[in-house]
Amino acid sequence: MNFINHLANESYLHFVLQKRYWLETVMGLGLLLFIFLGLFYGFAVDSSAAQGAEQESLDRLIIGFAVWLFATGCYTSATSDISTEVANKTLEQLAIAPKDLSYLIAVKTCVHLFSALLVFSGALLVLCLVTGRNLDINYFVLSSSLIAAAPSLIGMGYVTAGITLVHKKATIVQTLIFVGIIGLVSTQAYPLNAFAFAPFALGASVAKEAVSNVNIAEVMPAVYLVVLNSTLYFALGLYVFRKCDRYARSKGTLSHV
Amino acid sequence: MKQPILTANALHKDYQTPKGTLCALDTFNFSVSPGEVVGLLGPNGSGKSTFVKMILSLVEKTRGSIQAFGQDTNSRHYLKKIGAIVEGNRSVNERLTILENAKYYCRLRESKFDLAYFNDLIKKLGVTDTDKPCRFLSTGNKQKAAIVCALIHRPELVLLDEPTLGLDSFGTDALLTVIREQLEKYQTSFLISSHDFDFIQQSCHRITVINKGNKVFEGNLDELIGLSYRYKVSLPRIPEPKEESSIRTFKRSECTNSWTFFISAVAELQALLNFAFANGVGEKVRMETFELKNQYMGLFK
Repeated sequence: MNFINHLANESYLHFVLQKRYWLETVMGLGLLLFIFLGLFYGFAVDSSAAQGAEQESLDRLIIGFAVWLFATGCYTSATSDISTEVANKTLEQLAIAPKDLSYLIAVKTCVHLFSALLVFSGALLVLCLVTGRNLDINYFVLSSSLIAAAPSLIGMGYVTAGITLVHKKATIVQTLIFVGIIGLVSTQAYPLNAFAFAPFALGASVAKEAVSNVNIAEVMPAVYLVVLNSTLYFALGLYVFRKCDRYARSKGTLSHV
Repeated sequence: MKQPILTANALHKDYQTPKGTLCALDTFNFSVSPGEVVGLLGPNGSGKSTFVKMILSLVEKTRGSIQAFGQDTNSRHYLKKIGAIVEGNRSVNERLTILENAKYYCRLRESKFDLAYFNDLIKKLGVTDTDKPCRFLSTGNKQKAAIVCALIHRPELVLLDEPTLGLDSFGTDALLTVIREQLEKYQTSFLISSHDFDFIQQSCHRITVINKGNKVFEGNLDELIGLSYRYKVSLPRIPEPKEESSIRTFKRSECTNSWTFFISAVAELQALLNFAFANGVGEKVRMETFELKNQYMGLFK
């Protein structure tokens, strides 16, 4: 059975769960929108008299929030799957499938990544509609930098997923990384500086440059760096996950709850 | 003789604990042939679940080898041919219905989902409330759902760890029927680890008893019975049978007023009953049949 068939199977699972528990999803997104509106209008009132640069800041706030939603989706794609499988007590069924656990998690991650992209696009549209702003941005720069940066956070998700495999609960690590993601998204790593070495930071910064309607050719060297950064963090995440998987199997704790 | 589909050679597992090394399985040898149902018995902590998990690669071996379908368990392809319930009903996604679970796990094991076969299993196991997510099901129905998921991809070897957990008598009987049918139709092999002695006695061709990681007994039910008796028959003392009577050769113990015979074969039982009726004490005969549980307990005394 090839990758496509596994992808179809995981999409089926995702679709069934989203359909059955739609209220949970809608309420979660509603709460996030509510938080965003609090931030946006608080900021807008303060800068009501502002023009020019401040107006761009409001656009950056919208983009930043949408990028944060996307980043959270990328990070949680791997880690939430393992946590859910542990909580549902079905991890061992996944671990005794003919395909390797990291392969299956990668398939699940693809489904979540697609879902995160949909949420990101939808969120951007809703945020623009609700705030009445018409964003003049370079969508090509925005999407290419985000897609290039996504594997770095997926890699971080693999690290947490690996820790969850061994210890079954990694709540503190997860919370820390969630806070860290806010930092990574808000950090200015472009023009290039030391923050560019952190996962996702450079990709998020380039994505925010889309507000300034920057040309793709201008940011291309940075996008290459984003790809390199992503590859390294993804490889690191995969390595840690596989080590943790092996460790859990040697200790016999893989199927423990 | 058929080639075994599962063999374990000198399998050894040590766990490192704060108190030192704990040996869970000690140079364990084992095999399962096609169409064979093997029972795995042993007290808590004897190494049964560790062994089952080692077959599934959920636990890494320290030494030795396991071969399934001619492949080393380091390659994962053999897992397509295996279905399993590990430690009771921990095998279904509680947010999905039984049908959704079966579809998902069947495809996860790279098999095509067969709705007619699914309906057949559901019917035979007597599963109800199939349209509800599994979290709303009774413990017994959840267990049946796990059994359906373990069988849905038509595996050649099924590992069942405590399969009767939460099942009522009807459920246990239904499971026995399904196992027999799988044997008959598909030559499926089963490895059943359980503390349900009746179920083991009724379903298994062969039994392996392990304790503290070591094999204590291996053989078929008759061999285990051969260690003692199948029927224990008590009757009042009557005149000694004639010298040529075979009854004199039967193993027996004597009390002041009664004899207790330990019989292994049905023909011997028949002869003894004839003897009792011929001497007018037929109605006073008291008989106990063999119980696997007693025999099993005897192995540890």
